[in-house]
Amino acid sequence: MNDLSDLRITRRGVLKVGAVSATALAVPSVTTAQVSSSQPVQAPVISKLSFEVNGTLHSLDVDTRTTLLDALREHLHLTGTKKGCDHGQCGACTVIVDGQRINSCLSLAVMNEGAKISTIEGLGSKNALHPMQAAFIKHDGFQCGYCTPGQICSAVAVLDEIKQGIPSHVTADLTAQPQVTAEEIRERMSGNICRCGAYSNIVDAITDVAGRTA
Amino acid sequence: MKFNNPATTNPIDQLKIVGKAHDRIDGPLKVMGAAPYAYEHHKEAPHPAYGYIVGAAIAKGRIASMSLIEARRAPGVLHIVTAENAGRLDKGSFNTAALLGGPEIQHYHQAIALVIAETFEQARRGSIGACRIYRSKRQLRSGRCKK
Amino acid sequence: MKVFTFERAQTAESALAASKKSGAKFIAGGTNLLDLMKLEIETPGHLIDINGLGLDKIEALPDGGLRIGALVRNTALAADERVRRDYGVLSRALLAGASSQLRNKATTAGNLLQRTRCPYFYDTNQPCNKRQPGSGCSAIEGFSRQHAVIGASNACIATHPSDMAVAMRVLDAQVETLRADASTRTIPIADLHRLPGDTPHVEHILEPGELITAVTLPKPVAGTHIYRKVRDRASYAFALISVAAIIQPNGGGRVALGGVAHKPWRVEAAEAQLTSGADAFTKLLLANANPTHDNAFKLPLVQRTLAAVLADARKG
Repeated sequence: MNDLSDLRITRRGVLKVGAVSATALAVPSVTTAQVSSSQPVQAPVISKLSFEVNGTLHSLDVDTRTTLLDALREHLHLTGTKKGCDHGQCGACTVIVDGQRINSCLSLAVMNEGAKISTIEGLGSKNALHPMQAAFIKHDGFQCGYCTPGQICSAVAVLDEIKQGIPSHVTADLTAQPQVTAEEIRERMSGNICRCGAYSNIVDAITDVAGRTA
Repeated sequence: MKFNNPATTNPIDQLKIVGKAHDRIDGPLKVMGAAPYAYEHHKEAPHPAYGYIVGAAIAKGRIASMSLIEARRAPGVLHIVTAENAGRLDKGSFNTAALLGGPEIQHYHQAIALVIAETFEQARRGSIGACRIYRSKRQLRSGRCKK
Repeated sequence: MKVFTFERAQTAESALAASKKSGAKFIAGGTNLLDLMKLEIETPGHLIDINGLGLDKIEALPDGGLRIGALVRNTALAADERVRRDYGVLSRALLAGASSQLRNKATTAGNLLQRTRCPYFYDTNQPCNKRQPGSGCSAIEGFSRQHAVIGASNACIATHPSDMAVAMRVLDAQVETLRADASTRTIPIADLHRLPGDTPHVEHILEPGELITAVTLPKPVAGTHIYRKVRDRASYAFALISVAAIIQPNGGGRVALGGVAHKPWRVEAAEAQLTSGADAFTKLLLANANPTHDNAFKLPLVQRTLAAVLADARKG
């Protein structure tokens, strides 16, 4: 049974607590915070925007604070793209915008006016899987599957980036055409993390597709 | 264990068990982004509310007091769940700490309140308004009581 | 995240005019700003999207140098043929940073202006003189393994996290800006970032509303271009220390360090001693270093990394 009486401790009770150090100076500011603030309560700013997702044009009214990720998941109900960390560190939110993969959690919806966006839902369908999706199944490139849409979108982009000649940290000769190697794949996929540890099978899947398209 | 020698092959590399590819019944759904996870059931639960967790700002101690006046006034906020109003707090047999803490704090960032609002952005903003004062062994600390 | 109004600037003039609004901030890639806004460490009331200003070109300059638009994405800059061929250290530094997704969005100017990743700066429960001047520095008595060993103060020991900036420092880049009164100026990269001193919340010398429009590079410097980044993981981690170097066949050249201070660390006056070897040179480069117990390892790490860089350059 939780003793909740301390939650109703009085101001005097707080001051009485022994061993208050310099942070006791915080107490006066604490007590003023108990009085309601004079700042006006700010209502959300709603903005109109439109963009194309998987070939379909959408027009939305969104809170300006809405990320592209939340616009896709909560407004358009395209929940294939996942929120893993919401801070651009895990890559589960990876989508392709105007041909480039980005972390959709670190882009505001309103910054994507007029953009062409591809999500995992647009890559392929049940009867026409994208080769990368098929490869992930064949090589079992997942367990829980939460990072998978981000992995697949990134993987597709990786092969495209290599084809475009974009070098990476592990490319030996900066001025040469980069090759599809396991080392290159791992480096280029480093922005997508997998808590289940399916990395080795993910690399197999990507290598498989690269081999077939080479 | 000292990592002084290169790792050579080991039985796992045979891929007979660990790493061996399996056909999974949920595989196709997962690679299409069609497998529904926690709050992805928009058909079954349209117009959900959104919660944002307030985490304890100390690792060990007690909540001395919590003022939720500001948080409740924030636009879109519907309700705030704390140990005070959550009813009986239990934990699963595999949990070390209670999932909702209060007044005792068991670890840093332990959830001590859930701000529920109409949108995610409003719940997150509302959580800023929750003013918490902690009493830990060494000192009084306040969390988020300044604007 | 606090509520904010949003506009897309069509011209630099309109962006500058909008920046006069109270609480206004420019947003380009947003990969650092949005991260901080979610935590309410940054709280702009008005965002000015400057992606449409056409500042995204890389142009050759008459003197043989390069002008890089402020809005050029990190990926595009690293992959540019001229940069790969003539400014290899810059390409390597960019490719060593962040992830592909982040590099596709992050911009040249945004990369320079990004803020520290000190975990106490990021944790709004902890005292931090950057976030709240006068509240104290949690890192000094806390976990400071990744923090500054030189140029820091009793108020702040944070580092600047950028790899690109270190390469730009070694390349003597210049930063071109447009000020709120529509005048322009050019800032040597060495002067852009401030050391913390008593005011760690003031991180650079830009004035309110001042917009970086481009970064210029002088004509290419011959030599072996190396960017060596030492970190806990093989990828997608910030530097413990990094070395940006352009080394001549005689073993001389120029060196800048990352991960050791609140700005890229270079001591031009010491560079004549580079031919004496990593040991002697590092002593000069890091003279008056004041590491903490947690990060003192960075000093020998710099010396050994530099020795490795010089050895690589000799190989050729």
